[in-house]
Parts: sequence; C-alpha cells; structure tokens
Amino acid sequence: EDVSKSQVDAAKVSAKDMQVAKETAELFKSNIFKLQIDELVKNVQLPEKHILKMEKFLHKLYDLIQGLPDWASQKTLEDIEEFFHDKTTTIPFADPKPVSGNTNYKFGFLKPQKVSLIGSFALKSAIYEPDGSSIDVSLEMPESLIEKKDFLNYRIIHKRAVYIAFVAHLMNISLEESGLSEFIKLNYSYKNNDILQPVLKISSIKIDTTSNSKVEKLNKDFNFYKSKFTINLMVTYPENVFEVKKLGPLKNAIRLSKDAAVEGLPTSLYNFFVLSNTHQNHYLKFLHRVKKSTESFKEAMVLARIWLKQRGFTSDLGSGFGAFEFSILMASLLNGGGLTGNKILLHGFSSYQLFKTTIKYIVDMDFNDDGYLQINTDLDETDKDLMSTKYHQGENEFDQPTILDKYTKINILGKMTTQSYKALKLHARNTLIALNDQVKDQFESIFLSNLNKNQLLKFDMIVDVDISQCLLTLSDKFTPSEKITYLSFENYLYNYICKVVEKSLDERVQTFEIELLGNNRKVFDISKRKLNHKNNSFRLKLVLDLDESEKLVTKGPKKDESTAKEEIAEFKNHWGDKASLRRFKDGSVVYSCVWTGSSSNSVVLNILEYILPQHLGSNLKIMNSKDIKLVANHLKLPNVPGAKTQSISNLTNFFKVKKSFDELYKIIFGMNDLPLAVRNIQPIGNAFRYTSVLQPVPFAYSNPEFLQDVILEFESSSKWPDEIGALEKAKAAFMLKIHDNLVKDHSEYKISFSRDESIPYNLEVITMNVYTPEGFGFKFRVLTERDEILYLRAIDNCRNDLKKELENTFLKFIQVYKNSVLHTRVIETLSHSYPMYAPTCRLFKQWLDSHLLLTHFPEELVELIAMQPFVDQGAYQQPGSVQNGFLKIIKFLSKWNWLEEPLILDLIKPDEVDELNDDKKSENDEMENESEISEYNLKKLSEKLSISQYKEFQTNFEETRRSNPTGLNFQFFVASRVDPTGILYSSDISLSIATRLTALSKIAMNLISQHGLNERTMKLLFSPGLKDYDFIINVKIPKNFYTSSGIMKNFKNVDEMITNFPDEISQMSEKMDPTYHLVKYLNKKYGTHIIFSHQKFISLNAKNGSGEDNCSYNVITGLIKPLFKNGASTKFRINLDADVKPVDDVNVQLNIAAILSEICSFGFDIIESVVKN
Amino acid sequence: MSDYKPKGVTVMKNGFIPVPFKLEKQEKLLNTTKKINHYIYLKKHQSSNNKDENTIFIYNLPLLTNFETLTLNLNNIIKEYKGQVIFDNTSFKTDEFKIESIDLNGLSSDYILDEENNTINPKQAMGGSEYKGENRPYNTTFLKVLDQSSLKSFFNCINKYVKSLNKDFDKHVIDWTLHKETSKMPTLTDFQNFYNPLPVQYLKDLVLDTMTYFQDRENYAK
Repeated sequence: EDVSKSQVDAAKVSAKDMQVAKETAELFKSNIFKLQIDELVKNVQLPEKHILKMEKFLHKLYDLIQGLPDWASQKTLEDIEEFFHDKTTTIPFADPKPVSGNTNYKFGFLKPQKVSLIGSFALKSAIYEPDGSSIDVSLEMPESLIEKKDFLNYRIIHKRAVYIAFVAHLMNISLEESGLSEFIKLNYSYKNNDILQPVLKISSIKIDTTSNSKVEKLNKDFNFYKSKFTINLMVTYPENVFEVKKLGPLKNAIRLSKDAAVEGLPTSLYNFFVLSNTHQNHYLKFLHRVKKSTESFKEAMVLARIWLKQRGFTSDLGSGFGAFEFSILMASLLNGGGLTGNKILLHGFSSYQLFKTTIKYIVDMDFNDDGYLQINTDLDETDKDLMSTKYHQGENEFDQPTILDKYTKINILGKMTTQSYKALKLHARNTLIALNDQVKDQFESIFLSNLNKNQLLKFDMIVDVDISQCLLTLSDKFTPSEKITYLSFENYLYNYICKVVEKSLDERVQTFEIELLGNNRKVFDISKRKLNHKNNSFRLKLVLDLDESEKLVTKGPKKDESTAKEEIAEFKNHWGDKASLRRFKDGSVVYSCVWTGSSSNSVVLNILEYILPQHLGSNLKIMNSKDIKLVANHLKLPNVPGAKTQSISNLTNFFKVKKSFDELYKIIFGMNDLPLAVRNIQPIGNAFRYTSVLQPVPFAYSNPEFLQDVILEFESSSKWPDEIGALEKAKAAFMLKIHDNLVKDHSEYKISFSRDESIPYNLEVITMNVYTPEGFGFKFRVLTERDEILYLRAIDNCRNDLKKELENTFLKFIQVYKNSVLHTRVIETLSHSYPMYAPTCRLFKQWLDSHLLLTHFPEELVELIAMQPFVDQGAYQQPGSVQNGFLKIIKFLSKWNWLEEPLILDLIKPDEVDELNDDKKSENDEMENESEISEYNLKKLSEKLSISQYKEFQTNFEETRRSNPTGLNFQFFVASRVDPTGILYSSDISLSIATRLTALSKIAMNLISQHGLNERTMKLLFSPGLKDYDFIINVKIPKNFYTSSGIMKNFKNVDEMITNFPDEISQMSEKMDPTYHLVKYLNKKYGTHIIFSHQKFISLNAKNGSGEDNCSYNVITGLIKPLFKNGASTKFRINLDADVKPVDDVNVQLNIAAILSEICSFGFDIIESVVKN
Repeated sequence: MSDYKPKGVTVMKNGFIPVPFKLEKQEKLLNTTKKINHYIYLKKHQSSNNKDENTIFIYNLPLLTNFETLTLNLNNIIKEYKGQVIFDNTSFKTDEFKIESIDLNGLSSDYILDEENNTINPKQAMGGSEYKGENRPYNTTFLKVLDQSSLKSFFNCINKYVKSLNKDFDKHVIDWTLHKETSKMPTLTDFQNFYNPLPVQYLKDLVLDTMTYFQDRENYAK
C-alpha cells in the first residue's frame, strides 16, 4: 500500500511540475508569438499613401452623392420603366422581376438620407491584399420611400434595385460632367454573392496622359487604380424601418405562391438578407465600441482576417464566415458566450489570446446540431447583470449553423451551410492543435501558408462533374418551395449537390467543398439586369476520413419494428437499386449498400460515380475520372490474383512476407544445437514496413529488393574473435550450422551464401539467404556485441587521412545493423496509423528512381522525408490520398532550405497529436483529478518530443552546420527519435545530388501548380531530365525482367506467374539486372570525379513500357564533379585519381572522351550507346 | 568535342612524361567523332630503398590493364625506337577498383604478424601519423625493369616517341591494344555472375582456414 501511495505522490509532483513547465512554455511561446504577430501586422498594413488617396477620393465621392438630384417618390413601376426606357442603365431587378400592371407599390429616388463608410475600412481593420480590397459605402434610402410592409414579397428588394439604378444613372451623369468618367468606371456587382443586393462598384483605370489639363489634374488627384481599391456603393435601409420580429429565421416573408405546401414556410435566407441590410451601421457601431473598450481587438480582427483568408473563408453565400462574422463572434464572447453566460474573452486579453480563445470556442461549441449561440448587440443595454450572450446547448430549432442576435433577430451565420460550418470547425481544430504545440513554432502554418493556392494540396480528391445535360431535369426540381428557400437556382443547385454528397459520403469525408464552375465573373455592366452564367459543371473537393472512406458497406436503418417507415423509405429512395438487406454478424438485418474497392478506384469515387447520376441526372459526366486515378495508377500492381480489386492501401501482400518470415523464425529459434542460442531475429527489410517500391510477390526474385534483410543475434559471449575478418567468418560458421540444420530437417527451404558489400571496406561479411517454400527470400546478417568495438578500434588505429572514411564505415554499420531495427519498427507502426503513408512513400521512391536519384539516398532517409506531411501536417489535414501525400512531399522538398533549416520529425501517431481533449481535461479538471490525469499525460508526453529534445536537435543541427556551412559534406539534417544526430542517413550524399533533388521538386511543383495533374504532366513528372547530365550510357539487356520482378503487365488480369525457384540458386542470376554491378565498378574506378546515377528498378524504366519487349532498357548517367566540370583544368598531381590529359606542362583536364571510350568497351555487350551531351 | 593535342608537352613540370596511346574506335560512343587518346604518365621512381631501384612510377593506366597488356603496349614503342628493355612482373600490382585500399581487418586486429612473425600493434603496422609504410595514391602503379640499362633504354624510347608526336601526332601515335590471352572485358554473364552464391564447401573451407589461422596467431600472442 505504501508503495502505491508514494507512486501516487510522485505522480502528483510530476503533474504540478508539468503544469508549471507547461505554463512557462506557453508564456515563452506567446512572447515569441507576439513578436511574430507584430511583424505580420506591420507587413499587412495598408500603405499610408493608398489610404490618403482613397480618403481624398471618398471625400470627392461624398460631394458627388450629395449633389445627386432628387427625382420623385410615389411613382409606379410603369413610370420607372418609362424613365429607364431610353437610358443605358438598367434596373438590376432580382428574380422574380416585378411585372407592370401587377405591382401596386410605389418607387422613387430621393437623395440618401445618410452616407457612411462601413466595413473594415471604416473600422481600420482592413489589410493589404495583393489582388486589391474594397471599401464599402452605405447609402441609406430615405424612410419616405419605404413602407412598413415592404419587407414582404421582394418589395423592398425591387425598390432598392430601382434606387441603385438611379444612383448609377445619376452618378454616371455627374462623373461625366466633372470629367472623372475618364478613369472612374461603374459596374454592378453582388455583395457577398447576395443576388438580392446589387451594389454599384466604382473602380479606377489607368489612362494615358492627355493634353486636357483638367483631366490631367483630376487624374493626378483622384485616380486610385494603383491602390487596386474598389468602392462598393450599397443601398441600405434605416434601422427599425421594419419590425425585426417578423423577419426572424423561422418566419415567412414571401407569400407569392398560392401553393399550400409553400405557405408559411420559413424564408430564413431572404429574411436574413433583408434584415442584414438594415443593420450595417448598427454592427459597425457595435464593433467600434468593442474596439474602443478592448485594446487588442483591432489586432485580433487583423489576425482573424489573415487566418480566414489563408483558408479561403469569406462572407460570401455558401462559405458565410468571413472577417465580419469572426469579429462579431469575438466581440460577443467579450460579453459572455459560456453555458451560464460567463465571459469567454476578457477585455485585457492580448490579440493572441483573443484569437486563440475564439478558435478554441469554435472547436468546442456546436452551433449547428447541438446548440446555438445567442448574442445581444443592443448598444443601449445598460443592465450588466443580464447575461444576454449565452450558449444554448442541446437544441437548435433553426436547423442551420446559428449565432442569433437577439437584438436584430439576425443569424450571423445565415449564409453558412452545414458543410462550410464543418470545414470551419475542422480548420479551427487544426489551428488549435498548432496553437497548442509547445514544441514547434507553428506560426507559419497558422498565418502564413495559403491553403487555397494549390487545391491539390488542400484536398485529397477533386472531382469535376459536367451537368450541362442534366440542367433541365434539375430545374424541374427547383419548385416554388425551393425558390423561396434558396432564392436562386444557382444557390439551390449548390445546396442540392451538397445534400446529395453529404448524405452519400457521410462519415467517409471530413469535409468537402463544392464550386460551381464558370462563375468567375463578379461584376456586370450597368446596362445588364443581372449576372448571367450557366452552371454547366461543378467541382467537388473532398477531404477524406481515412478511418471510414474505404469501408465497403454503407449501413442504413435496421429492418425491425422500431425503425420508422419513413427512414427506410428515405434510405431506399436515396440509394435506389443499391439498397439491399444484409444480415450482419451480430444478427441484425440492416438496409445497406455494398461497394467494391479496387486498386484504381477508391470506394468514395465508386459511390460518387453511382450516386451523382442517380440524383443529378443520368447524363451527368465525371470529366476527370481518368486524372483522379493517374497518380495512384502509377504504382505498379503486383502480379498476384486479385491485385486489381485490392485497394491502394491494402497491405495483404506484405503480410504474406511477414507470415513466411514467422514460419522461418520459429524453425531457427527452435534450433537447440547451435553453439550459442539465438537471442533475436529482427526483420529490417523494407517489406516489413510496407515501403518497398514493388509489392512483394512470391518467387519474384528479379525485384532488386526481393531479399528482405534480417538481423540475427545470438546470446552474448566473450569468445567472439577480436578481429573483423575472423569475426565475420565466425558468424559465417554459425550460419553454416543453421544451413546444415535446415538442409537436414527442412528441405523445403533453399539456402545460399553470398558476400555482402553493404559496409564499405568490410569485404569479409557473409550473408545467408534463405528462400522459403512460400516464395520469399530473407537475407541474414549476424550482429554481435563485438562488432562495434572492432569498428571503433579500426578508426582509432588508422592514419588520420583515412579516419573520415572509416567513420563513414562505422556509420554505415550502425545504419545497417543497429538503427535499422528501430527504424523499421517505427515506420511500420506509423504506417498503420497513416494509411496513405506506405503507398505514398512507395510512389515517392518510384519518383526518385525515375529521376535516377533513389540509389543516392539511403532508403531510411527517403522514408523519413516522406513522413513529413504525415506527422507534421501544418495547416493541412493528414494526406488522404496518394496524390495528396505525394504532392505534399514534393512541395515540402521544393520549399526546404536545408542549409538553414533542420527537418525535425515527431514520429508519433495521429491520436497522440490530437491533444485537444487532454487540454480540455487538464484545464477544467486538473485540480480535482490531479493524479489520474498526470499519469495519463505523462505516458502520452513521454512519447511526444519534449521541448528540450527539440532544442537539442536544433543545437545539433547548428553545430553540425557550423562545421560544414556550405553543405558540402551533408545537406539534409533529419532528426527524430530514430536518429537524434540528424545525419546518420545523410552524411554521404553529394551536394550536387541534394541540389538536384531540390531543383527537381521546384520544377515539379511549378508544373503541377500551373498545369494541374493530367496525363501529360504526370508523364513529365516522372521523366528524367537526361540532358542535364554530362553523358548518358544507354543499357540494353536481351532479357525481360518484368514478370520475374512480380509486376503485372497492363491490360491483363494476371500474367503468367513464376511458381518456384530454380533448382540451382545460381540460375537466378540470369534474371538479375547487371546494371547494378556495372555501375558499382564504374563508381569504384571513376567515382572520384564523376557521379554515376542509374535506375534501380530496371523494369520501371519508361523505355520498357508495359514490359512486352523481350529486352530491358536502363540508363546510367554521369555528372562530372566541379573540379573538372566543363573542361576545367587543374594542376597535375599524382593523387588526382583521374584519367587526365595534359593542357600544358603544368595543367591537365579530365580526358572524358577516353573515359567514355573505356566505358564502351567495359560494358560492351550490354551498352547500347554512350552519348556525350 | 575536340580531343586536345598538346603541342610541345613532352614532359610535365613535375617530371612526368605524358605518353599517349590511341584508343580503339568505339562505334557505340556517339557525339564524339575525333580520335581518342589515352595518356599514361611515367617517371622514374625515386626511392632510397634498394628494392625499388630500376622502377618506373606510372600514373593513369587504362581500364583493366594488366602486366601483359601494359608491357605489350610499351614494347610496341620500344620496338619502334629499337630499344632493349626487359620487364619484371614481380612488383606489378594494380587496384583500380580500390578493393584493398583500406585494410579494415588489420586495423581492427591485435594479432597481426610482421615479417619476423612478431605480433605487432596495428597502429604500428598500419596507421598512425608516424606510419611510414607504403602509401601509394590511387590510379598509380610501379613497373620494374631488369636493370639500369633497361631503364635507360626505356626512357630513351619513350622520349623519342613523345617527341616524334610533335612532328606528326596522328602518324606516330601508337594504338592501345589489349593482351588477348590474359585480358578480356566483362560480359553480361560476368556482370550477372556477381549475383552467384558462394559454394557452400568453399565457404566452409574458408571459414575453417581463417579460424585456424586466427587461432594460431591468437595463441602465438598469448
């Protein structure tokens, strides 16, 4: 009992310590954050001269507006039409347009009763945006033009359209008269895609110098085209002109139809649009007041604006959460927002705290399904005790994301959809994780990376759908009730597609976006009534949920009495013929749909291909279905039965290797007549961590990775010989004994021995290769406790000039024999947590190999780099497709400035990244429940990198870089738990190869960003730039290695398969690629001055096509190192180790022609040609 | 690309004579039409050790040059200029693929024997800054001739050959030929044979021999 008590005490101390440490870190971090924020805010400030310019023009504009003449009021629609009949300006009536003879309310134009600046420019929270920003000016319609009932049936909308047409018309005249029309232009536009509200957009264009001095002067004073600003003139209504109660979200305000089904239906979107237009000034005042009372509010608004912009959130219809909505939420939380109305934010908070806490609030609260926030923006409310801003949990009768303003009856989130709300929460969640990261600086991922720049990185799958042939069917669905709910066909279509996708994919996606294509134009001429575009196609962009996306069954309602009939009908109705009854293991009978996965089509794509035509029209066409599969299809299929139906993340073929190994493991472990007992048999081959380029296929021994490495250890003994050569032979003796045992008792196994060259200068290593009856091969190396000592002794004993070489040998030993075990275990575990990692990594390796780079990098290094987008997601989600993962790796490489930045990887599983819940726990319950939590946390934190570890890695990097500032000896510093030194795997790479990798990634990223992913770009992406090398050696071997590498040729289901090993192991060499050995000798001979590259996987060489040829092609390239590059000469010395020719009696240059000639004869019967570039 | 023919370089400043040979034309070598020459650099070996007298120090032999090929080609020059040289094959050794460049085994061992069968420390035997043993740079070799007069005759011919090239390079330059009986370029099968396993019996014998020899030395040291 005592023991357990002291354990609890110890845990308590740790918990407190941890809390203190955490707070210190938090404080430290927020200080750094503060500096970064200051810098950022400074950078996004509007240039002062632009502000001055705009202010000057705004004054002028104000004067112009004040000068507009009153026209008349109480005019009929006919009068108005008569007036505009011969004018260039058209009234931008919304649909349904008022009809003369049937419209009995009155129109008119009188000068605005109030002109005011609104929006971010007025609040001074605007930021500089490279594409230009806009300034909103509100023109308040005189109250005399509006009747109390005008909120109904579009009346106010039409009155406003007439009003804005007058403004446009009259403004045009006065611009003309003043001379400003030379460079000031007017257009109509819709604010926030609100088709009910046309605004007048004022922009400025560049003009050539004129001889007219008046225009010249005006141009100088008022032309603001350089600032890229535009001005939106918006017509608003006086506050309280309508009874707000009547426009609440659940009220009906459109009563045009006689249809009973439509009667009383809430018109929340319409109500929202009408109401929000009457309260523009109100919210401005509200925010202004908060800004005054809360010092950091303005800065927090700027942060929010940047954060939203980088993620593509806007106030537009459909997205519905822009800077305004964020600001209102933040302002409201200063007044309450908790379950009891308790304040979430305090006026003294820093901008960082305001921002972070608001983000956390978005994550924690649910404004959609399970609650809503009620706020109160009443400026006159004096009763402080009245908690009016309060979160209501467990109910949301509004059936949409809701922040309801009690005072204005406006749902601030009125333009959001369930989907955009989901996306908001997802991004907020990611940001919160980043903000909570105590270890790594996440500022960049939170504020600086623009997720919208490359959609292929933001989404796992992008599906383009042509609906041009379905529009008739779809418009039939646009019934009167849909009309009053969604107001426009476009908005209806958007929501309809959303609903179909949402219902069909459900949990399979984390979030998705729909973009109706062909809507790029935002402005239209004032002679047009509306912006006309046809929605011929849409783009569906998905972020997958990998736990769910590949599930083969979509479960519906149970078939029993408790299930409502409607539910079953709805399921059947949605899924059509696909819905069927299935009995599950637990005995339940459930309506379900069963899908098939395949190597090229994900289940999600299969579902979409089925369901979209069902609901949108059978003539629908997925336009890019080929492109979607391109990247994944680049991975070769294994030549095994059923390969085509295996999903891309399926690991079955790898498990077969494991199983075969386990059998062998048992046999060897059971041998009790060995001089020393077996202690460990550790598999370290890449198939054990699922990262081998080719999937394992039985008997496919031409695969250069066919033999999977294994490390064998015996019980410790002091008798191992004290000399490397003898030690290796002693190991061989042990393996020979195993060999004899296997031959005797397990003749189904074949065994051979070979020399091993994996440790430079150690020519004595022997490996035992065991070929199993299941068709797999394992290469055994023996590790003893003596090895390390002997390698170190050799370093100690050698000449100084050889020390570096031998240190390299030692590193290689550590790599192959020791670290490999941990590396394999970590990568294997993580592969299970990140389902797309393994296929992505394999494709990345294939990409490197197609560029002849793979053989230059230890595969551990490649695998660690490939892990980057998975364990360090930044602002993105975990890659949910091979395409997404692959592009993120390339993107990372293209941006990685390895000379100055280390890559530090926290190799942990995703659930451990997600510390949100822990945080919640530790903040709320820490005091009550200390010991329990501390133990829980300790365990988790011990897995995650600590700040000190992180700092240590960084220090390691700085020290290593200091001794090697140009990156000549090592370039990539990749530190993780697996290798704290950071250079175990990267100390032996040549600078030009590292530079080439970076350059290639940049080119690849540019290509994809500009041209997207299609057949042509994919081909380019995987084609080596052979012209960049100094010479090329084309290799041609009169043999086909395709089938014997286990690759399925295209267009067939299963090719002829090899079903056994040759009787004599030595016969296997006939099916092995000789390129490897040719290059090995070229390297040994010429490697001092030439870097040779070749493709490791000969079958994957593009020249071999789909493997139908009887010959195989490979390529070897040569790159001359800087000393002799481009015919450079150097002083002749006998330690040059180069084939040189004299230039004069002192200098020589590389005799490249002679070298190439030698190479021709060296590989005479496998070299097709040697080409000098 | 033009193959540079240095006019007048008959000897490098540091005493090496660049001796060109014309390489056989390779049909597979594209984009290079000019005749290609290989340069071997020769110098009399300077050494205080008697063993090393009458030795030529050679830099940059062509690929896979063995004693027979080298002397065949040098003899072609000597014949041309009527010299009398007898080559001694005892000291000729190349390691162009750098297989023996570092003796890891020796460096890790406490049981290396010197010529008098005394156990010596590897530091003493192999390394350390005080090490004075053989330290031949890569891409170089020694070629011994029988005696002083052979050596004289050799350099005589070489110098004449090199000088003759200044008059008419193409006419006088000698073709590099491979000694057919002893040397051949590797084939596809040769490259693939590198994948062949070690015969088990061979390996068993090798292990036994190595272990016996090691134990002998270990016992000796004890």
